[in-house]
Amino acid sequence: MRAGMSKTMIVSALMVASGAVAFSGPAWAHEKGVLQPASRTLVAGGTVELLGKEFGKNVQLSLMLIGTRGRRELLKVRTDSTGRFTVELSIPPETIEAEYRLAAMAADGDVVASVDVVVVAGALVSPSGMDEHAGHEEGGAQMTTAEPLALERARSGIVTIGAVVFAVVSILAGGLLLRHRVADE
Amino acid sequence: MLDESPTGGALRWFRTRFALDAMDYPVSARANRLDFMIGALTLVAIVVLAVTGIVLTQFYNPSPLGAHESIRYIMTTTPGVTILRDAHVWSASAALALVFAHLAAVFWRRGFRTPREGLWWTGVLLLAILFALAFTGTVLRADQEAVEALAHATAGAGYAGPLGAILTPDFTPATPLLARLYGLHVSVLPLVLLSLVALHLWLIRHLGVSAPGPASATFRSHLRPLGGFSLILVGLLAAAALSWPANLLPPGVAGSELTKPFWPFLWIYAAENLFGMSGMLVAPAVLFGFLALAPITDRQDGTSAKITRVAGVVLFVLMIAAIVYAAVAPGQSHLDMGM
Repeated sequence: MRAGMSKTMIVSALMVASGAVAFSGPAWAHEKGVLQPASRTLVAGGTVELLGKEFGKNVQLSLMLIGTRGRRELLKVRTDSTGRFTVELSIPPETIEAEYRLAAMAADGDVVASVDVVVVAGALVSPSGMDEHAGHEEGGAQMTTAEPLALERARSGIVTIGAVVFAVVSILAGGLLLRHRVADE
Repeated sequence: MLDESPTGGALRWFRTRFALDAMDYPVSARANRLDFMIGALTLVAIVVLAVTGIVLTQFYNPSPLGAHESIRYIMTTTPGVTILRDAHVWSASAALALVFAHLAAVFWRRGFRTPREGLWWTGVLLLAILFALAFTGTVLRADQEAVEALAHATAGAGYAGPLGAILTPDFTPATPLLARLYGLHVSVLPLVLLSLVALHLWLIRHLGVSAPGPASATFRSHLRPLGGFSLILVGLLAAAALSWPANLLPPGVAGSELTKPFWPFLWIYAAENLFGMSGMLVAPAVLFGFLALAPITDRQDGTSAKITRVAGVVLFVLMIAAIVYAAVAPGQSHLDMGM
């Protein structure tokens, strides 16, 4: 009886504890911020303006470039009294072309903000690079729209005719099966 | 009389080797009506989704900066694949519309009553998985609608604390969130869906269809009309894909809220219009909470059964009204409304 009660108490305590963990607020102690690079396509050897906001006030952050081959600190910054910072971030010229996560790391190693970026070699970047697709650029600011892109769709007579025939045959065959069902009944 | 022709022999061989005679189990003749086939038609739409999705995976690039470009490539370079993408989008709409219709029909005829509670609950889970697939599928487009959908989900995940961590970019720095959502969309969620469908079908086979009346027909006779309706559905999906192809918005820019979600999510959008970001959590909680509890609150005929039915009808009408309202209401920003 006593053993049963203690088991019940232990299970109950564990359930309460796990419930408290699950429904408590975020476990991290830092305020989460936002990183906004002027472009998500970074040039190896180039620079990019980076805006950080919504961080804690006057905290030091490490800006890291994190990839599958490891991580590299690019710069240490300190936020102002409103939790913001703006820096001109230099991308090391030897950075290998790949996708990376640009992350802001607090002093204790917690990642408090991050953004996906891609690093390309300088010679590959053209005025009509990937960022051209990221909305319409006007005066350096990205303008976006909810209007669908006016793309010229790929067309093929054979494919279209095949699809039309498929649709018609499917509907007719379905109708025939249903007619047979009525006849059977 | 035994058919001794070569064709008859081949059919007999096929029937015995693949146990097709097992399909001759009795079912109610009313099960041959369309309203008892909506669930099976949902499965047909899911099969179309799977087939078209498998083709799309050969052309889609799940990297954050390659995703949008790969869809542009599909739309502008590959005529066959772009039609399959259109069919994929239309099948998603059809699957969600049909599963709602199936749910409403089963609810109305109280098909969740003992001993079919498990059947109902697996159906509710299937609805949730279909929603998850629709959400992850939207995000994979990496266009403006996708970025906004992801921003909403990430905000919601933030409110859920550590439980929502998997939906945040910081969960693992090695893999972008888009790639992880792609993994969910093409492997985890389909596997869960398949398992639940298998369980759902197994329960139908053993508990029987909830159609009233004597079991005067066989399941084999049920297959003919089902095949007919299925072919018509597939034909209509192909026709819709040809007539109204799916579009693509410009690549998403974080921080903007200009779009409305895929129509099955519009009722949540309406709740966000009214209650802010908390609507995104409360509205699904109310729907799925109600659906989960329906077999419990409707145990017996009487007041509780009537209340459950009225509540279900009110909820269904409210959802339809919310979808229509959200479709016509002007776009609204939600992320800055907070909880």
